[in-house]
Amino acid sequence: MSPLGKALMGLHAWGGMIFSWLLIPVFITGSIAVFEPEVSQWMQPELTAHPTRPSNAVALAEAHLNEHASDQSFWRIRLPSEREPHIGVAWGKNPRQLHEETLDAVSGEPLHERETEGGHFFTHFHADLLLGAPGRWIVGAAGIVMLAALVSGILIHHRFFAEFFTLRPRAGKRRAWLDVHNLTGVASLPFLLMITYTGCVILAETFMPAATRALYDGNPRANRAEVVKSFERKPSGVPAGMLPLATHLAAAEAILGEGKVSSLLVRHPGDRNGLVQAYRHVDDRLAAVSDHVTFDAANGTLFGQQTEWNPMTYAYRAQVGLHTAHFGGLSLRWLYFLSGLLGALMMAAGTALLLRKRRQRAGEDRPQRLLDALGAASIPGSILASLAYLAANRLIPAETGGRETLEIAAFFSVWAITLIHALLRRRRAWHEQFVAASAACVLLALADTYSGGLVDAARRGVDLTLLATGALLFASSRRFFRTGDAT
Amino acid sequence: MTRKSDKNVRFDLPLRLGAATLGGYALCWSLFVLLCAWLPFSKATVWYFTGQLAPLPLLGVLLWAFAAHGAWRALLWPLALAAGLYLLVLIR
Amino acid sequence: MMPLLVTGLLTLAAMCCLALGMERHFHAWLGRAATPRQRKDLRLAGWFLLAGAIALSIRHWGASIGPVIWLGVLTFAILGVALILAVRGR
Repeated sequence: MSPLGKALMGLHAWGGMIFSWLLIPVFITGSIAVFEPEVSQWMQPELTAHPTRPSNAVALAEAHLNEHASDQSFWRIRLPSEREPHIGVAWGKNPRQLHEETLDAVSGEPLHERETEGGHFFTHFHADLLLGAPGRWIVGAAGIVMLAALVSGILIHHRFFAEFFTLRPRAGKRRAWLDVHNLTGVASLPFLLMITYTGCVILAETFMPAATRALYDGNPRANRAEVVKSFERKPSGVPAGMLPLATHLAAAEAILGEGKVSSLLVRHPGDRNGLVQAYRHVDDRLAAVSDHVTFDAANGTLFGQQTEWNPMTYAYRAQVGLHTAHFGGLSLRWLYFLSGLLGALMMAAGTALLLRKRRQRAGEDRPQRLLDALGAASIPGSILASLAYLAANRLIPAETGGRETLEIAAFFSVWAITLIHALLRRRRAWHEQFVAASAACVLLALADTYSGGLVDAARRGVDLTLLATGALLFASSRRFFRTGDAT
Repeated sequence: MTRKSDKNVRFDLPLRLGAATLGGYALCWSLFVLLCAWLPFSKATVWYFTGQLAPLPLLGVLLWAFAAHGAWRALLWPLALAAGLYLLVLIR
Repeated sequence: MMPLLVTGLLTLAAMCCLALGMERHFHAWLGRAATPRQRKDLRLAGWFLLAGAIALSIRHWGASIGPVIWLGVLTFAILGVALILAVRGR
């Protein structure tokens, strides 16, 4: 080991383990968040999936908005896509607080789907632990420690290339855990460096506002206002008819590309100064920047468009895009999902190594019991909490008021219970929680399959993933965590 | 495995943690202020440039904080560097 | 999914060649020692296949998205070879 690696061993092992209690749940929820729309579809069986043409969908949305929101200042229409095969409509006086509804893509009927955060809960927890700005500071700090743990890990790993492909599952337990830690870390190193770095870049907007202070007097949205062109005007108060939105859509597709419009925003519908703005999909480019065009609502003349970007903004948004993975289709989503879980496995193996080493030195003292329990709560515990969130979605009746809060409460209460369980059951908790998680996976998958999950591609995908996860968790609980000799 | 060479072993870890957090944050902050003051590009270009760099100073100082010989050294160097960079802004 | 599969198989083959180009893995896998010439050829073939896989993913997904997908595939190719070696090296 290099002298530098030796000096950084403490940071790598202890910093890594302490922050892994947070980073492992963040990696697990982040992996699930890759499939956010699919999970939302699973959690809202009321949602339908019918293929349709964008122009039909826009006409249906327009009819609905004319009927229910003709007096509003803003309309937003999300066109059906492969991943979200229904129409989203929203309206209101304030563009940041719109009332939202979902319509069937073919009939245009409201779907009255159950109230839930859906897959977005995982994205939300992943980004800020549901704590807002303080949460982004915490996750940001964890991200910086993760980067340091990765870099120090490379320096500590003295046989990086010699043991590049090495996995010795039948060697001693320490050796096997070390091989798992090293192999998963080395194999997914490009992904882990990329995802952690870009995640920190996204969060730095909150936790490192130095440039915002120096350039924009601390106004957090001013940087965006400078690079995203805005085409707006005040309502005139004079009523005027609008061209059909399908006509605007066709004009927008001529500029942005056929089938490339993701959503429409109408400002001041029915006013002489009304505007229709179309946003482009970001699913075919690395950078998460959405080209947009704006037309005069009444006569269809081009009011403004932006398809070119400040190159530095584009580069920054490419880092954001690399993290959020809207590009690259199904292939890339599976690679991200599995790579993220590999990252969690790498950290879990590291935790197992350190706990084992400390136990050999210090025995079962009180700190050891606490460290063991925190490890269990972060690894099988956060998996159980995520499954509890999904289970609550099925157990709480669809029409219950405030049910989305109850689902989230289920996540956090089960997580707390896994910690208490781990404190009470000591090392046996690992095995028990892994078996419980595996059983929960299989039960959820079977319950959904027998309640109509087979008809919907997204739900089928989630169910199969749950089954596979259940099998893997069961196998690993047998192999690694039986009879309490977990770590 | 903190260094035993430090005379004041008791304060070794708190000093290094202080170096990693305070030192890293201060250095990153003053570096960004300096870049904002000196770079001859549009405000947005500078903002989106610094935004992409943000993890680097924090990561560098965190590694330095635990690799440096002596905990005081670990703390004082980033702080001194941050102060120096900030002075450069003031001079201008 | 087809391009992903082809890229994945090419990368897996490349990683197999690179692993066999290492003395201990060649021995563990095939039960005999490799000549220096064989190891050199295997490594060469490995890098060649790797280049082919990158070229293919860039051709299919473009110069910005292709390398990202290829790097993602690489992770699982390395794991695949490690698993093969772990099973073979009993």
